[in-house]
Formats: sequence, C-alpha cells, structure tokens
Amino acid sequence: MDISVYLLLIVSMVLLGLTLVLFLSAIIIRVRHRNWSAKLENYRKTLMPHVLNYLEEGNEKEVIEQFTGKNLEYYAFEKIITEMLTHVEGTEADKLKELLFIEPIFDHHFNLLRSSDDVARVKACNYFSNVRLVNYKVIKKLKGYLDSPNQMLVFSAATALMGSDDVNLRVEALSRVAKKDFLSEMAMIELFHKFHSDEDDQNEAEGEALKIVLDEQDIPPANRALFIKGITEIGYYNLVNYLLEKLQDPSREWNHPEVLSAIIKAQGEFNNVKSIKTLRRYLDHEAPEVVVSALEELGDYGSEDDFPYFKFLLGHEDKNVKKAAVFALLKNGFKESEILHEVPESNIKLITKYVLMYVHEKRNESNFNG
Amino acid sequence: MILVIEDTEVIYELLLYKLKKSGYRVEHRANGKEGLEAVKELKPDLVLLDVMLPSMNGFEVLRNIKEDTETKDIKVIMLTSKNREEDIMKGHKLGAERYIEKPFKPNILMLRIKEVLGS
Repeated sequence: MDISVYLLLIVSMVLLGLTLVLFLSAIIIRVRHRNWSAKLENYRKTLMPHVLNYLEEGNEKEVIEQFTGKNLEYYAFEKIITEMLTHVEGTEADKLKELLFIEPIFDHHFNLLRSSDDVARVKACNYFSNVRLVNYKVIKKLKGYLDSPNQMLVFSAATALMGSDDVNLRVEALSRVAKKDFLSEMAMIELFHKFHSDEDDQNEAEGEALKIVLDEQDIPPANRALFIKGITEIGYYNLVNYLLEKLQDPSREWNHPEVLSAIIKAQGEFNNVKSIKTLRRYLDHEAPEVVVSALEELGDYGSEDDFPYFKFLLGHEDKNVKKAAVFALLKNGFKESEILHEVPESNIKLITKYVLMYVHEKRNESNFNG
Repeated sequence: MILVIEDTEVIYELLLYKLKKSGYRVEHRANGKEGLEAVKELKPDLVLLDVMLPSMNGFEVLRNIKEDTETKDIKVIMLTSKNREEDIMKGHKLGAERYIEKPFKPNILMLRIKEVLGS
C-alpha cells in the first residue's frame, strides 16, 4: 500500500479519536452542569423559606450558620440574595444586605477588589454596592478606581460609593465622575439617581452638597445639564434660587445653551414666579433651544405682557421656535385665525401644521387622562 | 383570595410568603395565558399582575379581565418597572386599581393590598 494511504488512515483515526474525546467531554460538561444546576436549585429551595422567615422575624445568624460554609454555598447564597436585592427596597433590602455582609463573602470580594484584573474589580464593586460601606480600605480602593481609564470600572466604583450613607463621600464620587466625558448619558442619569437617598430628611443636605459639584468649573456642559435635569426630576427645591442666579452668571461653564435650557426648564418645573423677569431675557437668545425653553415656560405662566413677544417669535427663522411660539399662544387661548393673521403668507402652511399638532397632542392628553 | 401572576421566582416566592403570612388565600401562575384562565376559573378578589409576562403580557391580561362581564369587577394591582410612566398610564387607562413600581417595598405593597381590598 502506498505511504500516502497509510498517512491518510492515521490522520482519519486521529480525527475520529479527537471527535470521540470532544463528544465525551461535551457529555461530561453537560451532565456536570445539570448536576450543578440541580444542586443550586435544591439549595435555593431550602434556603428561600429561611430567608423569607428572616425578613419577617428571624435573625441573620441562624440563616448564615445553616446555609454557608462551603464554596458552592457561598456562591449560591450570594447569587440568590443579590437577585432578591434587585427586586426589593426598604427594610427588606436593608435586611438582605446584612446577609451579604459576612466575613467569607466580604473577604472574597475584597481580594477581588485588590486584584489586577478589571473584570474581577467590577465584580467586587457590584458586591460592595450591595453592602454597607464602612471599611475605609474598601472606600480607598473604590475612590482610586474613579480615575481608571476603564469606563465600566469607573461606573461600578461610583455606583458602589453612591450606596454610602455619607453624603460627602457620595458628592466626592459624583463630582469626580461628572468631570469625565466618556460616561454615557444613561450612566450619568443612573449615578445621579443613586446619589439621591430615599430618606426625605437627607434632601436638603444633598441639595446643598450638589452646589459643590455644580460649582466645579471643569464639568462638561452635557453632564452639567443632565445634573440640572436630575435636580428638577428629584425635586431639590432648595436649589431653585441658586440655579436662577446661575442663569445670570456670565461665566463660560454656565453660559452654554444646553445648560441654560435645563435651568430655564427647572424654573418652570419648580414654578418659580421670581424667575419670570429673567426668563423673558432669553426670548431673544442666539441659541434656538434656549428660546424654545423660555417660550415653553413663559407660555405656561401665561402673562399678557409676553403675548406680543410670542407673536413676534412666529416669524423666527428656526422652526422649533416657531412651533413653540404657536404652542405658547394656543395654550393661552389664542385662536388659530388670530395666529395665522400674524404670519406672512409663506408661513401659513407650516404654522397650520403646528396648530394641528397642538390640537392632536391635547386630544391625546385628554384621552390619556380619561 | 389573591391571584399572583408573576414569572420572576424570587418575587412570587416573596409575595406568596407575605400574603400567606397575612392570612390571605393565595394562588400563583407564572405566565399571562394561564393567569387569565385562572382569573376566569377562580374569580379572585384581587389580582397582582406583572407587566412583563411570557405568553401574554400583563396589559393583555388586564384588558381581557376588564372586558369580560364575569371578571370586570375583579380588582387588579399592576407591578411595573420603575420610571415606566407610559406603563402606569396604560394600566390606569385599562382599569387597574393601583400600580406598584419594581423594585418595591414589600410592606408598602401589603398596605396597598389592604387598601384595595378595603380590609
């Protein structure tokens, strides 16, 4: 027989052998995975009633002593408690956090936090966002990661620090993260909401602390505007006059269209009547988005003194300003014919479209409200 | 009787535990279709209804409950995700009594249940 045939046979045998090994390995992995999942499920089923009972009346020692001790148990224990924590808040969440704050689990994550691998560090940050932040070594590490070039690590470390009861620590983290322009808008909004504590009595202190963040000069305008939107959404009313002052601040960091627009909207949301006079100045601002915000808020106040300006702005070169002017007039009881009377022939089609849009929006709103 | 239609294991386990502990009779279904069948069959006093459900979403279940003359008076509390205002408005429009945002405070949920049931 030719040598090449022998070689072909040998290669085929080797390949067949390898296929068999791979096939067997796949079966073993699958069986192991099934056993592992069954063990986890069993563990979960036994643990859950005890955790639920603990949430109601028990003490954590009983649960911890009975259900931890081996590696699998620590892993499953943490997994289950962390999953529960994503669904509950309040007293129950605080009690669940106590369960995670046990030495072996804490030590394991502290080691991960000190590792050189960013994936392990992020995992550790996620754990520390679920437990009380009282260990200064942990806090020091987390603060250090705020300067990492890895956005995921920065976000995770900041999230963990936002879980602290210490408002100064939260402010420091927010202030440092605010200067970065690589975090997404969603990440920034999430961090801002995490900065806000559920405790009502912290609102005023948080508001005051936020001034420290906003007074920083090197925050990118987009982040500054996001924070102002967050302030409005959460309702830090004690910042309303501070923001009004900033509206008149000529410095570069405040005099940005996105920032001005956010402050104007905040004044409207907080119904700050004191701001009306200042808002009027922005009806002839060079940035259309600022004029639109001023029109929206002044349109809501509905002062007759402003109506001539609203009519004047129907002729603005920017379409969004035109639309906001139409909406402001209609909101204040002007009829379509009165508005169309104010615009040149060439604009009638566009203005009619905006009138119809307003009518449509109002109809949707009333349908929504039943 | 309270029917819990929720597919997330830890949530329904917690709800069932708390409700039973408070003395309510409780039934559970983990998908929309089976949930709706259970509503028609069991006629519970209250349904705790999740929005995101397999086989039929919570709004579809709610619409069916409120359109059926046999079940339209059954009270429904919706469990919605946080900051989903449109879900809340939709649930309200379809006739849900209340909504609870997730993550939720279990004790507040129990209070809402008592309020809705008037007990």
